[in-house]
Amino acid sequence: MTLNSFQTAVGRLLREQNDTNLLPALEFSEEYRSYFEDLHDTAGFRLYAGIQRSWCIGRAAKAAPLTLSVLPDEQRRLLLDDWVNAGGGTQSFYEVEAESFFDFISRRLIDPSPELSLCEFERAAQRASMGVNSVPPTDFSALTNPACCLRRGRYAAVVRLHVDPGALLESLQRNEPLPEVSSEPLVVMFSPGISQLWSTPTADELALWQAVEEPTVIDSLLASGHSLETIKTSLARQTLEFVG
Amino acid sequence: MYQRDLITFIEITPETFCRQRATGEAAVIEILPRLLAQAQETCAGLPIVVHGVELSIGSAHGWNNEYLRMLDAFQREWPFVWHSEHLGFQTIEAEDHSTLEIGVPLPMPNTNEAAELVASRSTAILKRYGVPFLLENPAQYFSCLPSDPEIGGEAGLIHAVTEKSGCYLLLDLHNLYCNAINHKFDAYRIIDQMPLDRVIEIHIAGGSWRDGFWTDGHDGRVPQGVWELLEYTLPLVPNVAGVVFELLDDHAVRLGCEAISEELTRARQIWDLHRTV
Repeated sequence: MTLNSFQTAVGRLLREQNDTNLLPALEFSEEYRSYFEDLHDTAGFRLYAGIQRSWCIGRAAKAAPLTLSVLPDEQRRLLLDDWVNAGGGTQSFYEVEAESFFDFISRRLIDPSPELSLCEFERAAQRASMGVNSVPPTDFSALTNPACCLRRGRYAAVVRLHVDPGALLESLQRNEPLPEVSSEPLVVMFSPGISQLWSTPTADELALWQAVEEPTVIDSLLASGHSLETIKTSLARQTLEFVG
Repeated sequence: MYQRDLITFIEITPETFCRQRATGEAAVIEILPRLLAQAQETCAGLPIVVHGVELSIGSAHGWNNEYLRMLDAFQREWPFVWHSEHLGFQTIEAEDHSTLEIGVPLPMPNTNEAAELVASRSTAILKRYGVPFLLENPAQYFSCLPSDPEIGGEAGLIHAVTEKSGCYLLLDLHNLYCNAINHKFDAYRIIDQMPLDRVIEIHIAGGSWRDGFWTDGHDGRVPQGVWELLEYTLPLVPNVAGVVFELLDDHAVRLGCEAISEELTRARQIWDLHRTV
């Protein structure tokens, strides 16, 4: 048995531990099949399986602590179980996996609901916080080049929430029930350059955000009526960034 | 602990100052300057050694190149006296040839192929960083690992790797203690079989019971059996340069400063007794 065969088989048996059809499906000679069947039945394998599962659940739980904290115990347990059963929670650095975990959670929450609003808030705030201290100060001199190209800030987001974020955070701090959803969504902008990471954008900021869905040259933005002042403010707030 | 002169160097896991960011081609590991600066301030100029967890040096399909790129940058920012990794693997290759994390570190089989692979990578690492590179013997819970007769068991694998590569050994006495309890062998006999002249660093730690196994939890005080192993081992390792007490941060808070100081004091006393002769 090659090293790669051994590692792949053991790794898959642990990663896909709920798949009862995996062991019979592994392609091995009778000798090696017997080895893995025996290994799979050992207390040591069961211990590794238990550790792997609890670590994966722990990592996932750390990725969305606020959202998970407001869910009923049974719903939270089911979400985490399903995520880990689908192969989630294995990444040591959770940032890469967090986006897909938030996607997974948001598909399972009622829309609209305060829980979904909190989920969207937490996801956008996490992304924005990743950009704090990561993005160098903006060099506005590039704006003098009419061909310079602008795009949405890589850590920025605009989210429509059915609960006011301030009220959400206040209820969490006070350990009170989440506020009721409003019929009209509130548009909230997140970015590492915004104090507290989020704010309600002005109409001009929002229009500019929508205009740079694709990278756009500054001359084109100015010709479309976006002001240089709004562009500068958005660059400073890192909701907008230079391409290249 | 600093004031009591209990700490003479600090072992750093650089991944704790990092985050992973998806790019077009790979998930790069970035050092976060703010966290690095905090750690440098905390360490107050003491020498450091590095103890990595993300390399997956034994993965047959390939090791973690992004970890090495991060370590290159880390060494430029904060040079270390030596560095170490765990002898094991934690990734496998997916059907589409991408890398899959298993979610838990696993032990190597005791085979020639495993020894050759880890030795060649250790040689490359020695050259790349220009400081001693150590491999740590792992705690492992499988009762039956594949093995080749020329290699034998864990000590044979470590002998083969250190001889072929010139790398060193981080002898984790708590891991050895776990394995001896769980697999019912004599830890002293295994110590005697290890390449003791290659030992640069020793780990001690605490653990806990889980499902009938003594596990390497780094979650408590050092068991008496591990202290006895330390007393036995120190006179036998002529090149040892330090002993490290490992404790996870959550448990450090629970254990408290006094208890940690007591563990460090005891380690220091054993060290002084055996290393100043």
